[in-house]
Order: sequence, then structure tokens, then C-alpha cells
Amino acid sequence: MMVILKHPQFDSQDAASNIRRLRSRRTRLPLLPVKSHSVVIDDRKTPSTSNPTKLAYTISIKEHLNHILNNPRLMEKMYFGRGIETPEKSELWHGDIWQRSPLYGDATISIDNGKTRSMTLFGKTLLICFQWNTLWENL
Amino acid sequence: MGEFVEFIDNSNQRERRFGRIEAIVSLLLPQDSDHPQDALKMSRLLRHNELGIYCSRDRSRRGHKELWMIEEDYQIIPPNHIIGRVLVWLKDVSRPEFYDFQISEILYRDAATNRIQIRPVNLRHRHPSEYVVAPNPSPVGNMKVFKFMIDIYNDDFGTFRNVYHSLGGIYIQIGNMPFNLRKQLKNHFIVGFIPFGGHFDDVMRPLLQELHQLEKGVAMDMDNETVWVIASIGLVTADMPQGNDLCDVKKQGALYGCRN
Repeated sequence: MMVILKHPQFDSQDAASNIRRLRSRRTRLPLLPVKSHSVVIDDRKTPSTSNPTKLAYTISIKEHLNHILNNPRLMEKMYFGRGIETPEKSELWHGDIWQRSPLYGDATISIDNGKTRSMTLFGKTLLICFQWNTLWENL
Repeated sequence: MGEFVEFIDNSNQRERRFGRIEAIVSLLLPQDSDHPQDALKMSRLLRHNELGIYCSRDRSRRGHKELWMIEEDYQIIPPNHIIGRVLVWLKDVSRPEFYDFQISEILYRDAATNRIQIRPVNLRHRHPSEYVVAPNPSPVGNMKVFKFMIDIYNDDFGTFRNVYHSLGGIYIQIGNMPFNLRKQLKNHFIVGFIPFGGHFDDVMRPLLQELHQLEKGVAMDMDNETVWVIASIGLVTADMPQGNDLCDVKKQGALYGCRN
């Protein structure tokens, strides 16, 4: 007890003031604060006897970001720079079709050391066409 | 960003053309991949004599005061190729007091027919500078600034094995993380659950004010240091049923659904 009290990082604010909280901390770590508000329930999906409103529970996004900011293992790997233009277009989003019309568009990418495969995003289907010799070598 | 400028053409160094700064990017050159260079991504504006078959007599007559937008063949140029700013009036926004050129039409390629089409300029893709909420500058000059991209992810899941009672989960992911971190379960942060029969909008409503605040910027503490955090939604991910719900589109069972 004395070791804990004299520890430089000990803060009396961290100590639980009631016995019930102390008991819950033995089994799990403290959660992020959860807020609740009532939402309207669609009565077509539920029996007529059930409540028209229910409580929905949310965790604040700001709280999440605060935790991410103070997590050095995450922060050192995150990227905050600007967009990178790469001369080697190897992914579909390196081309212009990204951010463009989702319905029609045409994009070609080159993978496998220059053996071209072309990709066409056309309506609902993503067609991937191989050059015949590439397919032949893969077989 | 989003400004119209005059710049030196990439393919022909002597030619000057007009364009719009689409983005400030880092250019990775294959011979020197460790040191990315500053570059500007430019979209081009065409003169009347570059319109090809659309160069009508009427357009040539307007040509000295008018340019045409095109949404392809973006150029990556070094910043020192910029000559100067030009004032351009896009004719679907309110008229500025002074302008050098006006734009009333846009050319784009129809992918189905692979032909160039000409359309009124209000049908263009808007540049982010035309609609994004401008964040406030940090209150103290030398504060560190962190910008987060939030990806909201929404999916329904069944809670019981043999009773239809599904809950909707709303999660956020941070777009700044590399993919190997982002896919880990511990880096999906839960925001809330939609109760059975509830609506996404109702659950998210109290969080909206917070998101508006984050778009403008908030001060946060990070390791005994106050930093300025700007975060906005960059992406909403959902599967087919939830995606249809969010877009107010009928689902696959509808007789005359939107996607048939």
C-alpha cells in the first residue's frame, strides 16, 4: 500500500470512491463513457405490445480520437502527409477512375512486370481481362 | 487548392496553358523513391481552338473571353511552372466583380461510347474547395495539427440463432492508418448500436454536432501537449442492405428497384 501511495505516478483521482466500482475494476478495465438517448422504433417490425421507443447507446467519436492520439504505438505508424502520386500505377485507385463516376469508367493498370491486364468498371460488374499469354503462363 | 492559374505545359515547355490546381501531391520518382518531391496536380482548361469537332462558329466568337473545362489527362507539374493566377467565373456560381475568363461548358468522355461530349458546366464534378467546410486555423500559431479521415462503417448482424432480431453496429475506422493496422479488429472503434427497428439517422443524431465541431477543429491533449485536431468523414462503408438503406434506395426484393 505504501509503495503504491508513494509512487510518482499515483494520483488520488484514480482511486475508486465506492466499493461497487472497485469490485468491477477487478474484473475489467474502465470503459469509455457511454451516452444514451431514446430513438423511435419502427412499429412494423416489432410486436404491437412493445415500447415505441428504446434507448440507443453511443460512444463519442471525440473520445475515440483522444485515445488514439494518446496511443504512441498507433500514432507512430499513422500517416498525416499529403497525397502521393506514384509513377508506377499498380492499384485501381492510382488511376483517374477513383472519385469519378461510379457507374461508367475505364481504367487500365499494369501488374506482373508489365504484362498488362485491363480492368473495366462498367455498371455493376468489374470485368477483368487478361492478356492471353499471361493466362497461358499462369496455367 | 481549387485556384485557376496559368502554367507551363508539361509536354511543350514553350506553351502556356490555363488550368486548375486539383491537389498538392508528393511525387515519388522511381530513381529516388526516398525523397518525394512537391508537385501540383493540374486539370486543364481548353481554348476554343482545342475543342475539335465542338469548335463551332459561336464558340470561336466567344473564345477570347471563354475557356472549356475537361476532366481527363491531368498533369503533374513542379510548383515553379506556375506563372500566375487567373480569375475565372464558373457560370453556375454567382458572378464575381472581376474575371479574366468565363466557363460555361465542360467536355467529358462518355466511357460507354468513348466519345467526347459537351455539357453545361453545372454538371461537372465539384472540386472539394467548392463544398468542404474550411477548418478553423489553430488558435496558437505553433500548435501541431493532426487531420484524421474517419470511415464510418455500418452493418447489421443477427443476435439470436433462430429469432429474427438484428442489431446494427456503427463503427469507425481511421483512414490514416496503414492497411495492416486498419484491418485489425482492435482498430475498429465502436460508436454505437442501432436497436432492432431503429434508424441509423436517429442513432447518429447526437453525434452530428460533435462531427461538425471536429470538422472545424478542436484542441486536444496529447502527452502533456495541446494539439489541434481536425477530423471529418471521408468515407462511409456499408454492405448492400445497409447501403441501400442509407441511400434511400429500394432493396433487391423490390419490384421496380433503383438498381434493376
